[in-house]
Amino acid sequence: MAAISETGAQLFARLGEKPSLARLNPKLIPPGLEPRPGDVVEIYGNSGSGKTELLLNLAAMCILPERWKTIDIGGLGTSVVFIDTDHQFSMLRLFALLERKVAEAIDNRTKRKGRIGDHDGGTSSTTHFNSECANQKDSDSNKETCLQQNVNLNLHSASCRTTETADRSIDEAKFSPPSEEEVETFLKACLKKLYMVKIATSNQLVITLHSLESLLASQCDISVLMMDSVSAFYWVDRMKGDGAHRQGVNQKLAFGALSRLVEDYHLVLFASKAALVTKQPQNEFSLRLDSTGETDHSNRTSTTSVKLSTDHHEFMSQEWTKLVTHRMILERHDHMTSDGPNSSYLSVLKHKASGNMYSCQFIIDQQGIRV
Amino acid sequence: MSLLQVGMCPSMTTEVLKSLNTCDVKTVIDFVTSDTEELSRKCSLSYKVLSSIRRLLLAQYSAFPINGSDLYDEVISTVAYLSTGCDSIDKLLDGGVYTSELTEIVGQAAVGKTQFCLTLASCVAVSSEQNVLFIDTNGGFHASRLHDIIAHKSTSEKITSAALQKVHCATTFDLYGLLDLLESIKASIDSASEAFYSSLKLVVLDSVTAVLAPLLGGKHSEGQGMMVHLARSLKSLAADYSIAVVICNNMVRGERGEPKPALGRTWLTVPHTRIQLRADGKDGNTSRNTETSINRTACLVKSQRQAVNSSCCIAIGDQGVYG
Repeated sequence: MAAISETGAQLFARLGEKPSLARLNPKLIPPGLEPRPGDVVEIYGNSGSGKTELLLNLAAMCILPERWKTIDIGGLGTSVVFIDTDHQFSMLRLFALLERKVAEAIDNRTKRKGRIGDHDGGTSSTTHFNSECANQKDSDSNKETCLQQNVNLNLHSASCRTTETADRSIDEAKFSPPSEEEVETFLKACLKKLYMVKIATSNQLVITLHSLESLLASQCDISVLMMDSVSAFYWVDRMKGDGAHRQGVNQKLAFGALSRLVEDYHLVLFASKAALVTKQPQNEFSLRLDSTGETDHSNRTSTTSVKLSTDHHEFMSQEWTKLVTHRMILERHDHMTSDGPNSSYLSVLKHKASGNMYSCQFIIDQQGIRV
Repeated sequence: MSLLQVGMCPSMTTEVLKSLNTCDVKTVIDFVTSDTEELSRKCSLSYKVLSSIRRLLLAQYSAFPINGSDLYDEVISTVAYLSTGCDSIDKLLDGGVYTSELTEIVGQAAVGKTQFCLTLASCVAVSSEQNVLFIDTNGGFHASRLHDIIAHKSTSEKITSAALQKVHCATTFDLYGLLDLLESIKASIDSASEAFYSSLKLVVLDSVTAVLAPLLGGKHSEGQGMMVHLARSLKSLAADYSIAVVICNNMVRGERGEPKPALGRTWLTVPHTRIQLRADGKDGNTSRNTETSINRTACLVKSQRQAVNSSCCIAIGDQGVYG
């Protein structure tokens, strides 16, 4: 292996501290199971199970800052590279999600404004919450905000932001919601943290993954890589190649390059994988795969405890399977309610090394994913 | 894949190419994926030359990262939606079919997919005054029916004939013909040679099942690969040229006898939006003497914008799909 020469700035970009993803979405990805730099999270599910939606939600939280003016937004404020291989990315949807999240944060902030008199800047955030909650016990609507705040404040204390609590109590009195233009300018500033890469062919994917290195080296605040989806070129790559040994060679090259990027630049990769192949016996494709030994039986997640009707079924090459450290399986359930048909979604997150599992149910509406 | 060639970039001379080829580096991918230092040692070429070639190749063959805020400006200025001519389906779709997206109409035979497409085409031609290309793969296109629907929507004979001018129909009956057609559409838009293609806003493909189904099944994965090719070609037509693409798909019987969209799991992931048309209630037993309209239910099965599983009732009559 040849020695790599790099500048100090590049080294910093590579090894500089990356923010923790524990705050990304604590309800979907609980603390303890959050991916760390170098981890690869696979999001697996059928068509319409919410894979792209989940990626957009996560991307929104990544590029939003933790605070804007005096408003707690709770984002990570980190840059994201989004590799769109399926033309599935919807900028309109992402913008709508960003708008909702900011509007919600402003709402919370406005609600809190009225009842801040008892603040004394010195104590820790968690005690603030307790005292407030005691004062407000009689009011139901405020209680809800308190709970909301509980989440926010705990997160703040977790990230050692005690210094900011002092300024906050000063700011509380003179808060007025920002105008629509201000919000739009702010959101567009946030969108600057997103780098979109649209891929047309599998060859272009391989070459682009190599060329991304220069972007990652120059932008040291990129800590998350997203790919929708890794399975986009699966069939095309299988069809290509002049002999059995060349089949899927581009898949191998692409995953090799991905793994190098993730490792060298301490990134977290979120990648969606569509359930293109099932293992139901009536499906002749999976039968054929089984007989040629291409499926990886050892990696089948045993999800009997959560009763998924569509278990994870590995159909992609070993190169990909080896990269994955976390797997999230999404499933959509349609059921009839009194207001007509309704859908709920189930996610099961599994950390491969420890075998820890976490499942949660959520719905998708105009606000995005809600647990 | 593009082979390395002399003159690709200034430093790529015949000698350089020759020594690269002896090391089994023949394509751009081979070159980009191999370690430059190792390559310079193996081929005894200068590291400087090789890394300058690599830089140029990367710039030329990779996709360039677009900043999110630039992309937003672009999307806001290019994306539009086209009314389908049926208010309740417009509501279901949050305005209509969106440009740069793939919308699929799925339903069993004789449920009204072609009628929906003809109504959409006439509405786009009459109300939005945009050009429409109707790709017919199963002989379902009827010019006289299109004329009737357009005549219902327009107020004068002049408008009717102007709108009919805006709808072109192309027939192709196999996948390769279809892929060729899609490429030639893109080439015509790029070269701006024909006025029709320059303001093309809607492409209807009725139906995708007819061209793809013969290739699927059997023991080979080629069919799946060709299907993905078609999917990518349709999507790039939609995304790169800001065109709304509407495709029709049939239903087949899935597990437990429940109908599901044809063409398998891979195709399921392709469209951005999917509407399912269903004939329920009288189960298509409507006798023509007593009823002038045929009732159907449209259900949103997949969407990036709207709540899924919402549905509405529509009817098919002389004026096309309405309700």
